[in-house]
Amino acid sequence: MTDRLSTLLHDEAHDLAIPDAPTGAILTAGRRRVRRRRTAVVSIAAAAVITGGALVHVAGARARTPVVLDPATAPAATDWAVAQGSVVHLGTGATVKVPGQVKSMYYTSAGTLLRFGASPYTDGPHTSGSSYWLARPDGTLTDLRFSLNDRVPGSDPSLPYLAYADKGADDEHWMLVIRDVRDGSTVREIPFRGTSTWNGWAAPPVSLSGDHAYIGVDGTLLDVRWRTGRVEETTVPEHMPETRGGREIVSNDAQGRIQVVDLASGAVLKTITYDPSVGVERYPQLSTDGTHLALLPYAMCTDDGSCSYEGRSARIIDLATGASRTTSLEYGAFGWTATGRLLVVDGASVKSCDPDTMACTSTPVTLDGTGPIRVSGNNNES
Amino acid sequence: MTRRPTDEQFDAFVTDAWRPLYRTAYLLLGEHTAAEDLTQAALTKTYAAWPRIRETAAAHGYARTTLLNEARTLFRKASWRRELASGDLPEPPPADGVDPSDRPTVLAALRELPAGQRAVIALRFYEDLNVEQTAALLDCSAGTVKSQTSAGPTKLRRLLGDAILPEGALHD
Repeated sequence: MTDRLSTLLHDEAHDLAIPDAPTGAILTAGRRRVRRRRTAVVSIAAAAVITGGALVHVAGARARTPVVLDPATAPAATDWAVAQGSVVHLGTGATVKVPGQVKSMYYTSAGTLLRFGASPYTDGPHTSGSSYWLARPDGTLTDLRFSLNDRVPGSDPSLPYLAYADKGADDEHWMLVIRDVRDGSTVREIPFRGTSTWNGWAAPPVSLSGDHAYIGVDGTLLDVRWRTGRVEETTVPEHMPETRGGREIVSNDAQGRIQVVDLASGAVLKTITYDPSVGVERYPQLSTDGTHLALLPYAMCTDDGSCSYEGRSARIIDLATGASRTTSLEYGAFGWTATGRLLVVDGASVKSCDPDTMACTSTPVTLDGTGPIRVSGNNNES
Repeated sequence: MTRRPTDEQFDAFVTDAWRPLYRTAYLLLGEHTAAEDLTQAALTKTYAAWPRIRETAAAHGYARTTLLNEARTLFRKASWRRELASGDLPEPPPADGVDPSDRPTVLAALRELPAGQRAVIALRFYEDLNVEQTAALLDCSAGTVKSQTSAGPTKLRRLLGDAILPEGALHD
């Protein structure tokens, strides 16, 4: 039966007038997507002037209600979370369950913020349906009752806040919003300007680090002192900020260079070079506290979506001393605690390891093998 | 394929993959601009994922899967679901006195179908997906796919005429 219709469809589709492939546009857009994941810096010569660039805008930060903002506090040493599907194991020994698949997790001083939805992927279907719940260390859950749609928020393990951008009156006006994750209330709204055409999210991506929020708008990374409302441009070009401990990984594909930069001072803490004609062979990732740099193998994925590392050898570098050690990691089965210890999941336990000595403490967990595992300390935005 | 391709390598891949992907996109969406956008989106994501794809051959499969997943996002919009639920055909052309050469091509007739029904036909008869795969992509029940698999070709035959799509050709 269907042979006739199928044949006709194939024959006519074969003769369809098809425009030439816009290879240049696809390549450009593809590179932009890569930069969403991997900080790409076009020019950061000497990296000496990261902050203190042109003053863009000074605005009094607006608090919706009079609030006393929390100072930064030290996160709990046992603070980690490992999720599989809807079940989340916390480092304190508590286990919680949410009504959805965990997509990503964010450290805050009040607990771990869980983003979940119909699928375990941030770019999967029903992205707009993501929910944000706070899992406190004792295992109690709070539904924050807001949805951020397809955008990248930022958190800091030492603060009880989540930062993200909201659209303003037009495509050039935005609002940095600071929410208290303990009750979902908005505690600061800071206006800023800048277009956001370089990425595909609903708003410019945001990271939160102490008193600073960093925002990737077209052409630059904005530095917002969110407690005062001061907004400055940096010399770091557009990218998805993933600031950890005030430090950022910036790379220059054209020159074959990756650098770890302290954003407040502009100091370059580590430089790694590679042949730009070959491309970077190790994927860099900072520990949650920004003290260590992991150089990870590239993951290889097959058509069915399963991924693994080709060679599981990863290098962990202590940025203070330059010392490094090699360890074996499996794709998707490691992360970082809120205090910067390496997390390793082996199926039946979660190990919290000193990244310098790899001395570990182990906590047994029950992972049932259903659904992808999410380990805290990773950035699962896409 | 552990590394991102050179510009020349990726250009060659895009040139190779563009036409088959575009055909699928056009059959699904029935509109050139939308088909071009969908195909571009799929290839853009493929570039970003390139270091994670094991072989060049897999890149073609990855791009096709990505295109169908991107299409699924479109299908899940409310307007698509409404069309799947209803899907009445515009008035068929008069049966008599029509020069066979004036009859529409299959692609032209396909464009006359409601979007959801068109997608079912494209996925079942062009992409060769089974009922369950098609239902998953269109975010509808297997029963809906089965009913549209039956109704869609019937309506196509009404538009195309028996000479092009004989009645007997519509039954397994």
